[in-house]
Amino acid sequence: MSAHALAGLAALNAFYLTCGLAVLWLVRGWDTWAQLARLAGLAYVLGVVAIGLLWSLLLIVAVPFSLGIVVGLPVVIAAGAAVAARRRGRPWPSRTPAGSHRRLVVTAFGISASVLLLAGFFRAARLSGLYWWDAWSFWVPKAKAIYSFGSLDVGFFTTLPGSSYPPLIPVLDAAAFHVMGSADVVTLHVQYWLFGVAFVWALAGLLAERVRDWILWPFILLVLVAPRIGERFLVAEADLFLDYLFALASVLVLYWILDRERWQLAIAVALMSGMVLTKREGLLLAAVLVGAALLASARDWRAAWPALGIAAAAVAVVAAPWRVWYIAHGVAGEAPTDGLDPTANAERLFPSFRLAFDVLLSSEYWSVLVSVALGALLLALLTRAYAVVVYFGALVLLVTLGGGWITWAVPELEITQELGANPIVRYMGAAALACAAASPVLLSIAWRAVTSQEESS
Amino acid sequence: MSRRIGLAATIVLAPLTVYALLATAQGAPRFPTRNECVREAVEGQPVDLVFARFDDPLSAVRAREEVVRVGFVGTEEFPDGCGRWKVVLEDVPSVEIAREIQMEAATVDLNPTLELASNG
Repeated sequence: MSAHALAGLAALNAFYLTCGLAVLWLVRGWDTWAQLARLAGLAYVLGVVAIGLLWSLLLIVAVPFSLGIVVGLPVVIAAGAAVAARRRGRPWPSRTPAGSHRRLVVTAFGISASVLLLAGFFRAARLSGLYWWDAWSFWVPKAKAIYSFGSLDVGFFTTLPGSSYPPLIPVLDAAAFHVMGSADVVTLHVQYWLFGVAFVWALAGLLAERVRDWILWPFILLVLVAPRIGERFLVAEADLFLDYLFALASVLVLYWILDRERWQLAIAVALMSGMVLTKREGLLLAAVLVGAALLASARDWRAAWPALGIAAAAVAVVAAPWRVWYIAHGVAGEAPTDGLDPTANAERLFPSFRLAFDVLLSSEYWSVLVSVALGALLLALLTRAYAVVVYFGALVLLVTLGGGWITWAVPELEITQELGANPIVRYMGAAALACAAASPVLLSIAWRAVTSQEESS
Repeated sequence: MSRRIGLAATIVLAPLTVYALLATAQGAPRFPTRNECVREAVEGQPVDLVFARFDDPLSAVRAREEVVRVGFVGTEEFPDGCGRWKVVLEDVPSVEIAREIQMEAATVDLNPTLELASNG
């Protein structure tokens, strides 16, 4: 069971990677093999999201979910993207120039430490039971239903807890079951471990182009050892996967604000589309991301805002079919009942927002990720890197305010950090990972400002 | 290959190799199989009569209906804990009684196997 299942899972994830590499080749091209290796993590995440989105949308319109779809769709996407890339004149990657090997040694230490930590997580994931409440109460049962019946069984999906939660994660799980040959809920944890590995690889690969390696790798390792992050790499739930997409999309959107290269925004749109089909909070986080980008690009709003508007519209189009499906089947919607009425539940207002900030600043969950990010924001502000500071500052602040809003507007939620009574800790993981992405960028900016001042004096 | 590339590769591979050797020092890694969910019946313990196992629940439901139709009332289908569905008559009090039921099933071309009761 386990060896066969691992082999099947390896094949599926090779499909994700191949598909993502082909799509990334089409939208941005590859300069060198080293660049391809560096961005392979991002390519994998893109492949997972692109294929998962299409599977989800096909399922929503009642196309049977079979092994043929699981294998056939990635092959079609990868082949199509590769052919389109060649027709567009994208060249093969070339060899890496000799001079760029200088930073290898520091990077090697970072990779070595990361790989050792990930190897430990793998050993736990490979034989893990399904212990977490949400995982066994609805995420995995939904996946089993898709696997067994090949469809979104209405009775099942409308009566399980979290009935309005979008289907991306159950679809990815069901695909894993197909290639494993059974609903192997033990080996399934390896799939989540792979998502975590890809996130670390993608984040490091994206940041490496602008962040010095001796600044970057401590933060990568900090993510792996943060209590609510690294240890949860193997948990078969959607929370951390959503946070991965949010953190990576936030980096891509920042790069687009600075560089205005279309592929950066295009990939960010794909990741945000994945967010809105992962969890209900994905919609809020996508809106936060767009809001922060609008603020950071306000000086150049004529050029930037139309593109961001189109991006937001594209994400909304992807989000719509699932919403139509569950409303048509009588499932209650996602918006809190008291919405934005400040007079409703007024006594909850201040405690709710204080709870969100308490969770954000808690080292019990995120180690020093957030506190270091706040310091890095201040340092970068002193160097007058206003666009980056406004972007990340607004991002983290809006995520936190969003968390406060959720608690305030849903009276059934207790004002507590207890996981079973309030999802605030799960939700704030997005802010923590955004801080993990922000700090290296902000510190690099501050370092460059200091060293260039020293050189000029 | 330049010296730096070789050094970088060593920095990555050496600790990983040591880790793998330490991890396997106490024995090769385990790869559980589906057969670990098939436990032999034990004298003195309740017994499950398992008529069949299937990869999907719909086949198990059809098989269970057929088994009940020929007279083995109380037969149900359950996940077996290893990704398969089993059609089972649960909690037969003893191995001896289970063997009698097994012989009776053979007369209608059914061949259930005896396993340790899943509640045992």
